[in-house]
Amino acid sequence: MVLLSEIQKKITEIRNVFSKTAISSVEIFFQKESKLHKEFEIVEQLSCEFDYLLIVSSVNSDYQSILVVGINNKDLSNLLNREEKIDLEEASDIIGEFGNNYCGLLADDPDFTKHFGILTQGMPIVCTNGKTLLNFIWGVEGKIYFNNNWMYFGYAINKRNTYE
Amino acid sequence: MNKTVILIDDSKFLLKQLSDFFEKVLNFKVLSLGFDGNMAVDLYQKHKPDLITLDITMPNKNGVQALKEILTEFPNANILMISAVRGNAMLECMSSGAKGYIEKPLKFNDADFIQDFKETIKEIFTTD
Repeated sequence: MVLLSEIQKKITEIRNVFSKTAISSVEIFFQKESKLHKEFEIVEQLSCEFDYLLIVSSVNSDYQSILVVGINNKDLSNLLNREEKIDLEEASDIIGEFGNNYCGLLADDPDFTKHFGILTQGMPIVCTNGKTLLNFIWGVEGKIYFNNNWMYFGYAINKRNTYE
Repeated sequence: MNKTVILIDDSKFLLKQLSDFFEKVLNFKVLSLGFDGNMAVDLYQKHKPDLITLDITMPNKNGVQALKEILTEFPNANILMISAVRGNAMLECMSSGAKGYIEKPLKFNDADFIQDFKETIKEIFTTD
């Protein structure tokens, strides 16, 4: 439990980094202004249910992490200023690239790197129509909104296993 | 005559934005678009552009592998890496012969970012 407490403390110290990065990543990538629903919360388990879910794992010598971004189809269309439903292939392309950018912005944040260093991203995975529970102990999650549309962000991080 | 460029990234969404940026802001002629490292090598051999941009994290063959393959055959190739990867990646690319490294996200609405991008392109062709 000592290790988990250490992670909990660290993500609590820089909780606003995750929400700030969510806001700026939407602004840069989609050229849309968004606002925090409320400050991101520290949770023991990321949990969300959206039409599209992006999962990006990252790792360095000390830590492993998972970024989760959730968005519903109508909200993605709104972000792109389009009326029609975005098909899975295009949604996967756009959300996947968005996730890469979010991770890049996190890596540019000195508070994040001071606590966790620079993590190398894996390939993004986009899932659809499913409820997700990530048993990846201790993370930070929250929502941002724009024009009555919602976007979910969750970031879970843990010490990397050293017995590999 | 406009300089020519080939753009390589596994995101079609980003390629569209990047293509518009190179044509409308930087006045390049975009010859072709590719989605992985294999296409990068093939398209470079076919077109021999003035510049090729490479993402790093791509399927089939990543950008660093493509960079090295292109430079083995074309040592004077102008290659600009455009990636969200941080850390040692930049050093590895530059020491392998990339002429520049732009970090994602690409802030197309940010005047400072556009200026830095233009400076990078200028430096590539100044030292060409």
